[in-house]
Amino acid sequence: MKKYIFHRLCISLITLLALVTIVFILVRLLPGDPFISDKLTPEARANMMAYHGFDKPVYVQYFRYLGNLLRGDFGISLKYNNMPVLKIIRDSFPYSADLGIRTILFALLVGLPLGIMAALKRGTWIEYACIIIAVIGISLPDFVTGSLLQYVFGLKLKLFPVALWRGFRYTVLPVLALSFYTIAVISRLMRASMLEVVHQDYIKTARAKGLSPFRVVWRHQIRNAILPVVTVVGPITAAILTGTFVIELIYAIPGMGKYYVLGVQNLDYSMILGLTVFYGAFLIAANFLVDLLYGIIDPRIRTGNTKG
Amino acid sequence: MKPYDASELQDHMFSHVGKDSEKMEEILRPSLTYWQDAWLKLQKNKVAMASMGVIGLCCLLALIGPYMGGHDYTKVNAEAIDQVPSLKHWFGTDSLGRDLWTRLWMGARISLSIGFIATLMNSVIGSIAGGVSGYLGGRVDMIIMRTVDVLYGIPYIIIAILVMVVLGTGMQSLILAMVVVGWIKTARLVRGQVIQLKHQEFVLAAKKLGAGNLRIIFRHLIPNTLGVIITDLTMAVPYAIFTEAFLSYIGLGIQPPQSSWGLLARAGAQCLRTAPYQMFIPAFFIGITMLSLNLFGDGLRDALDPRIR
Repeated sequence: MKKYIFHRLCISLITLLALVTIVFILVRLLPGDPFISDKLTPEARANMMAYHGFDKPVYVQYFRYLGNLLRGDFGISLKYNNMPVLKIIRDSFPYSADLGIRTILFALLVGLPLGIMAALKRGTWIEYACIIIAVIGISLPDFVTGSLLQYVFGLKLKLFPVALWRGFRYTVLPVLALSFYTIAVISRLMRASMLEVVHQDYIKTARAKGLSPFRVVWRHQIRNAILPVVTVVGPITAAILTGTFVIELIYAIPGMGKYYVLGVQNLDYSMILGLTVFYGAFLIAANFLVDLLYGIIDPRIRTGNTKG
Repeated sequence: MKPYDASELQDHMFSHVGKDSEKMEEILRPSLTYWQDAWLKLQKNKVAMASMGVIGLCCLLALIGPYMGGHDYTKVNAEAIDQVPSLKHWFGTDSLGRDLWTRLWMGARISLSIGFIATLMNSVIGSIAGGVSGYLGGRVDMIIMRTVDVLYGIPYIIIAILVMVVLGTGMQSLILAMVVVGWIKTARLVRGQVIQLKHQEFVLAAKKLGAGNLRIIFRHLIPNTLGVIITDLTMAVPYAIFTEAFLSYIGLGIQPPQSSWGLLARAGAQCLRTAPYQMFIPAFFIGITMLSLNLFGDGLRDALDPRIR
């Protein structure tokens, strides 16, 4: 187990370093320099360049950049009154995290039972409902779902607030819009996995032992079928994260995704880069945790030679 | 009816027909290649065939649709702003008075071609990397797979956004942004398949007949994984169209006055309160295309899987 954790940790750290390096190279490739638009005398501009270290050789800049990141210095926003990017992250991330956690919980609460029921009640309307939800959820981009929900339940029926994030009623529509895709992925996977497990020998053994059908399903089938679902937590986190970009924009939620999109639209380079590194690190950490979790749940992963 | 009684059967009731070894070996039905078999299976799948029809129709309309209404898709008309669908403007006009039917199908051109081109490029690069890596093994495999492992951990969409920021907006940058990390999934898939196949007899035979590594990879191994590659490709097309729509929606992809489905959805979302049809129409076509591509992909996967008969 220790070797497995160490192995995964190394890969995660290398991935993180690769991400930072790619980001750094891409910054260097950006056309122009940061002060080209400001009306500065050549002398003042040279001073500014020296102040930010842009006159040093590239490798010195690279290690400086790494050092700054390690100390939590993500740079300063070019458009938001010189606000440090870290402060923007600190102010806005809680909203995004709140939205994301609610979405994952809601999607699990709906998606898992839906997939389980669809597999247990084959050929009934429950299975067809599950398949239809899965197909529609995968086929509609979240900005479409978000706008449609906002129009129908916010503007026309006036059941829920159209925008903002000020209490439970405000969270209903964004969470619904964002979780649609995740519900689809989870229920689809859970259904397929349940159907695969049902043919395993240990299910036959459990039935032959005379366990009640409920016990067979609950203790043997579901427990084993849920394994593959753990593997998609990583991609799902990534999908929800990018989903927050547009959902926060549509519902005017002051989260990080909204700042990211605004940064992209304003070409606020330092903000884009700072937030990119943060997002990347967050997702890499999430993937690392999923790997660990998978190693704990499934002993075959950590003992066997995982890399084929 | 009388119950069956074996004692009533007499020897004289039977006659010997003899053995005809020709007839015993006769094959009555023509033998089918893998692809013919897959095509037959696909034809039986009504959902997949209907989806194929919808995709075909969308492609056709993307080709001829822009010329049908007789409007120019970039022409701004101050006298026809935010008009609801009518005989003159079939899908209405947008907030600048541009004809939405024309814009929708011009957008379909861009969205669909980005989807198809980007996925095709991903498949080609991924197959080559995966094939070489899986067949050669050893150090080459290690280098390629470590690269893949590292790149796989970096969120796809974030790299795509960064590449778009650096390269600037437009169709070429969009495709490039999707290809930079998009080939990885195919590479992993093909590598796994190739590793399974490379110890089989036909590879050994080819080797003994003097085929070089490249010939074995491209003439023997990759064609044998083509079913898996094509299935993966079909499933990746909707994802690529999604990505294009997402990037255009947040303002990084296609720029006006050009048109794409993501861009139309974004413009529609901005005037949702006053002219909801501007959102609904592109949303409907994005949805129906994604739906068809997904269902068609499902059908194709079943058809190309030799285990399912």
